[in-house]
Amino acid sequence: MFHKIPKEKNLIVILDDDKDVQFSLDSLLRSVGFTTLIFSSTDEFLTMPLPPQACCMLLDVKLGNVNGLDFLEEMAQRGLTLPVIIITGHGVFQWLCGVLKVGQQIFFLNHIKIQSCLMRLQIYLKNG
Amino acid sequence: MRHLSLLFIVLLSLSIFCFTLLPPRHDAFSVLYVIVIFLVSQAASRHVIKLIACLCIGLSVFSFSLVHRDDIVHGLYTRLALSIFAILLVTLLVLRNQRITEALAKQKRILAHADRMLTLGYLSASIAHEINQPLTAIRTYAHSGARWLKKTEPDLTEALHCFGSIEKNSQRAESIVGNIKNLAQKKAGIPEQISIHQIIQESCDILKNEISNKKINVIFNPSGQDIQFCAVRIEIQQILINILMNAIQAFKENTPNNFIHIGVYDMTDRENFFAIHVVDNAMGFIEATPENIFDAFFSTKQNGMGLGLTICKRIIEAHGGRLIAEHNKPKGAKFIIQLPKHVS
Repeated sequence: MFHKIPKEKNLIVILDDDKDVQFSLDSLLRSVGFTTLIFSSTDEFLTMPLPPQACCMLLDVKLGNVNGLDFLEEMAQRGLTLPVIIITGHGVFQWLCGVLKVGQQIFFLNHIKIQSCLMRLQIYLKNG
Repeated sequence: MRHLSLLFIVLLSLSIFCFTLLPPRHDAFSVLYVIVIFLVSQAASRHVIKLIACLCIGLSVFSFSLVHRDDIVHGLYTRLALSIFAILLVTLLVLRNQRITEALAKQKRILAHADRMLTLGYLSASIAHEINQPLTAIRTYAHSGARWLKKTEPDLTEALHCFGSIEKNSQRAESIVGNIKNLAQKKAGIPEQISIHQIIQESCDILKNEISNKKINVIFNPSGQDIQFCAVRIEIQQILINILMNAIQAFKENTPNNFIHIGVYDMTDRENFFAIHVVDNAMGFIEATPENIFDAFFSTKQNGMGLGLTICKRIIEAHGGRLIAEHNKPKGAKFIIQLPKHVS
């Protein structure tokens, strides 16, 4: 069912500083038919223009010295309106409530239910 | 070295024995056996000390009976009694001394362990995060592995890659847990060969999260000559973590250009010694001075026991080294750990 996602919309950007988590997410997303683009740091991500077919971003809540949520604001300032899924192992509900105002971005709490996360991602991409 | 001192002690006992046999009546010199007991007590266990004491008494009695074999009835028994009394007294004192030393060493071990547990408590959130990373990777790989296999045309290469990665990440989680377990262990460690670069890197890894939380730039360039030295691994790790944690906690949140510089140098003025410098540009010694910072129960932290640095200094000195605190110019603190390359 994932094949129905239009070709130009199935690129997912992964931004995570942990190589193992990064590659595991890459493997999972490719296994359900997405294409992926991996970055280890925000700097690396910002040096490249955002590919037009990018449909969504997986963002680690903590990228070394950079706070993922701070980076969301920076993205908004730069006019990067890519939907974002925050990846986190911590309970960040309170933070998220504050951040939800930022813009046209969506947030899921990942790490716990990969299956449901993928389902919601798929629904979102179908509707969006 | 051990053999030499053993030989010395045996020769000493023999010469005392021969001396007591010298005519006319030198048997009172058997009181000198107390020297033998004192020397033996430096390295021997309680049982060996008791055994040696019995042997010394036996030798005294033997030489007494040889010297006084003609007048065994009217022999000067008070001489023998005095010698035996002296030997017994010294043995008792030596044994008591050893018991106290052992108790003290045990107290120190317990204190060092308590300090490590306190550190682990501070780090628990970071440790959880560190273990979570490989676990997340494992779970994600398990899902994707199943998906690669469930496809109408299963992709075995991708699935095998997933399984390989699961194994690799389990090992990663295991090694993190192993490190923590080592730090939490109570018994005294055994000295082993340690690479200084590796142990600094490991200590930084344990503190990775605290470092990134305060946006600190840790500068450690392990490209230079690595130094191998012999020490108890957890003790050295405890020292490094303690000093690094102090530096990290000295930084206020979100000030720019925070750095901790770690350098390893060969000491030019002391042969076979090396020094680890930990330099930061945080607030430095406020309320404290480089002199009183090592005092027990002195702490400027709200929840500090004030024992961390005291324990560090004690451990380093037990390894034959020195721990020095200095002001860093223009600001911050500097800790210098000096250690011998070969600790016997």
